[in-house]
Amino acid sequence: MENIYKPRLMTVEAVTQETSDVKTFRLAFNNGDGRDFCFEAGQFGLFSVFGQGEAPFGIANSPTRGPHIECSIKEVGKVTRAFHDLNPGDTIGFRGPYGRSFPIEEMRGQNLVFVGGGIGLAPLRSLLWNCIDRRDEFRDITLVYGARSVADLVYKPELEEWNTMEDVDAVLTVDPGGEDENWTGEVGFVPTVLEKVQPSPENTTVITCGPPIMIKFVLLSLANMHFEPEQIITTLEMKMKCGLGKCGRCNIGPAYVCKHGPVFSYAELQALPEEY
Amino acid sequence: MEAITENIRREARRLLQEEAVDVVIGYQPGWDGVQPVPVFVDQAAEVDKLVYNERCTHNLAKYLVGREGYLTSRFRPSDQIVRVALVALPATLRAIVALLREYQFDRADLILLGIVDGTPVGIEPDVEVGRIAADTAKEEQIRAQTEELDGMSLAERREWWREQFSKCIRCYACRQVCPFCYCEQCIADENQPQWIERSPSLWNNMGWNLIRAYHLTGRCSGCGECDRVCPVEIPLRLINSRMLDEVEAAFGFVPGRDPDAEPALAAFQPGDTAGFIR
Amino acid sequence: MDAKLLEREQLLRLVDALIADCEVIAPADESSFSAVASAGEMQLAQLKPAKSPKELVFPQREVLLRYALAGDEVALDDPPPPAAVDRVLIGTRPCDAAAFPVIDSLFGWDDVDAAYFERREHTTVVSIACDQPCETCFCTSVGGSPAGIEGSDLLLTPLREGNYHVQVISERGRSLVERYERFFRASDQAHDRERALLEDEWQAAIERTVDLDEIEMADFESPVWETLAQACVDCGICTFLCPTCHCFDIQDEGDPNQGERVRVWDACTFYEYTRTHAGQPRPTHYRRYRQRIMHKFRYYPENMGKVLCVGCGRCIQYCPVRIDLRVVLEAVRG
Repeated sequence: MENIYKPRLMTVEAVTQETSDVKTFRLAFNNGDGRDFCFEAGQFGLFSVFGQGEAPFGIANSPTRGPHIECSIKEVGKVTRAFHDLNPGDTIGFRGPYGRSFPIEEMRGQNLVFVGGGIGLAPLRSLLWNCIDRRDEFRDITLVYGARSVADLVYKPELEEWNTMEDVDAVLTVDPGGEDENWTGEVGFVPTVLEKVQPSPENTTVITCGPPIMIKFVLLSLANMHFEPEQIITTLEMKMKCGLGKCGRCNIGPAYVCKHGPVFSYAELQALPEEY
Repeated sequence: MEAITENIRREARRLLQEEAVDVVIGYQPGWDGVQPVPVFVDQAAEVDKLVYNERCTHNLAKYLVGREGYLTSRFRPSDQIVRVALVALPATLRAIVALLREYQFDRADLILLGIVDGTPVGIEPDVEVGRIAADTAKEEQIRAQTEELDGMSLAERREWWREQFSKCIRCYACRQVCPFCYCEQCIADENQPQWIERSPSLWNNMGWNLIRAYHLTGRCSGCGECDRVCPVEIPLRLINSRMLDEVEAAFGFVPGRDPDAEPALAAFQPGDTAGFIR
Repeated sequence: MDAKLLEREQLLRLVDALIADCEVIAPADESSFSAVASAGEMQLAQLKPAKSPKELVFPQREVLLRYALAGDEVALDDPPPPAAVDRVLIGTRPCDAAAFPVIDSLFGWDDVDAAYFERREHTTVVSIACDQPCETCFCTSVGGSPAGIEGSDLLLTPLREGNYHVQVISERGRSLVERYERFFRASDQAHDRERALLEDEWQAAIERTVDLDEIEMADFESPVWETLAQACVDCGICTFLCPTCHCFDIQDEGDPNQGERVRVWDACTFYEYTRTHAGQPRPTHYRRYRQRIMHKFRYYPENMGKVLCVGCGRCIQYCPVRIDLRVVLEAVRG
């Protein structure tokens, strides 16, 4: 029988330094291991460096732009440091895809507003490119994205690309004090800039991901703008180990983030106990 | 016994009524009515929960320290002082002496309702609520078991302890009940690097148990709680009492006796024995 | 298959015969179940060892895979399959046996843990009913019984005159009885009636019961959680001794060139359990305690349809501060 804990082998194809502590890894399956592999935006995998350990990261590229996988990793501990020490050509392990993906089918015909902060843009990026590649299935696409400073913005080349796209409205911001002399975007916290954008709740879905404090104020802003909890989608972060609903770690209320999430609507989150 | 219980209740009532303390930490009858358990009384009306009998063994100093300790909690603003009255057994009093020496809290933060047994201890309780007989039977048992082990050859003794440590399930109850295991990041939980692997192999279990023994050397108050709580009955008190003997023999130091003495393994005296340097 | 009878001495002879053919695991001392080399080594007089038999199917350390780097190549190997040796677990109590079907649901949830079920398939569970439940037992509160059959392949109920009444519950049980039929006798209706009467008696002997419906009304926000958990020291005793607790950690042991990825027991009572750089959802111990109770009595049943508890009472008996789960369950309703 299949060993559900055994990863596929992948090779690091490219490493991009996004910020001082965030790198994006482009990974390719070894030996055609990826032939039967497919995933949906919002899903995650358990990535491992052999000898160091395994950790969950969202898949940051769109399923329409494979066959490789990308993940963006911030260096904070043992496993993430091991990732940051990797070079192109190194081998890692990957298990997945796990979790519930973004409800892209239900978003068809809607206006989409992506609201991201810092490295929270990673899972949003997967969905954003996915929607762009299926552009005429969606109405307006807006991106409101910010970070502490210009240096902390991730996917900088793509931010420029989205900025120049006619059918995507990209509003980029940095926190007050985070701008440099070349910055031409907004200056202000993401929730404040979102209120400036004032998206209408009609036929609109908001997808948001970022640090908890940002999410908190984004939700407040959205409530002020009369968005219903069902219209707001987010992705939750919780310590995980198995990704299979067995080790118990990611359990919040009756939900296991690895099985019932990581994508949740705000309405679903309201039904869960407030553990943070 | 009843007199001690009465004394504790009287003092607790007075301290809470006068608002001299925020909480009295003591013992209450367990839910089975038999085995007393720790209780945290913050209302004068509830002091009748407090009891004392010979089955009270928990070292309540444990609740003062650490990440969530009453006197050291990370989760309260640092200017929010909690004043504590503590029912302190002889071992708890010894622990307090050592914890003060380790700068864990100030003497003024604590009111000690002490139960003394005549053994030397380097602190005066604020109120002596009871006198009990020293537990010589326990000392005897430990001495007898230690002699038996000393009578074994080195190989036999090593085998004996290996058998004990193979039983360890790494539940860390020994650590969690100990007032001296207050490190916010225990070495066993460190993963950069993973000094002690989590798997319960003999090697890893020895690593855990022996490192803990070393970390307690010169500090342990001899309460025996680690031994009592171990679910697989590893005789941990034999290790800790042996280390206490060794420290006394090598440095003339017994933790808990003299509030001014430098802890033996935290200070270097020029006259310290150096026989182990060969 | 109809019920059988097994005389006391015949049980010992049966066990010696089993030992000749397969591994026999029984309570060996006060702490654990382990393989016995002769029937005389079984310690059946005690109620149950401190450790539950869950480690027979869910070992405290299990190798998930092996890795080896050779130049640019990485080789991953499955661990050797758990020994496909048949074994008989004898002397479990009905509570411990009932735990197996409870955690089967988890290990088979969508992704099937192959090694776990391989061990399950090769284990025949022969339980012995409890004629003297102790003061911390509460199996009847969670749908069990001192003479319950859930999770057992054979259940031996000690009758008054010294025989065991043998209920044959499953295929595995039946095939064991068939293979060793020389040790068993037929039982009759009188024996069956006696068994049922004894079960009623033993159920009534359980001192303290709790109404599980209370937990349905448990108030997550209630301040009583903080009081209930005040004495808790955050060790792992309740979790590690519990026959149904199954949380684990996955770590790599070895060096970058070769090693093993292992699964080890973990406990939601430990501070490290949910701590990440991004945050710690349960920084104080009452939140961890609340999670443990809610998971076992509300969240797990919502997902799996079964309470994650068999009422064995070890958590009460071995808790360093004697926190009593029964009192907690009564106290937490909103």
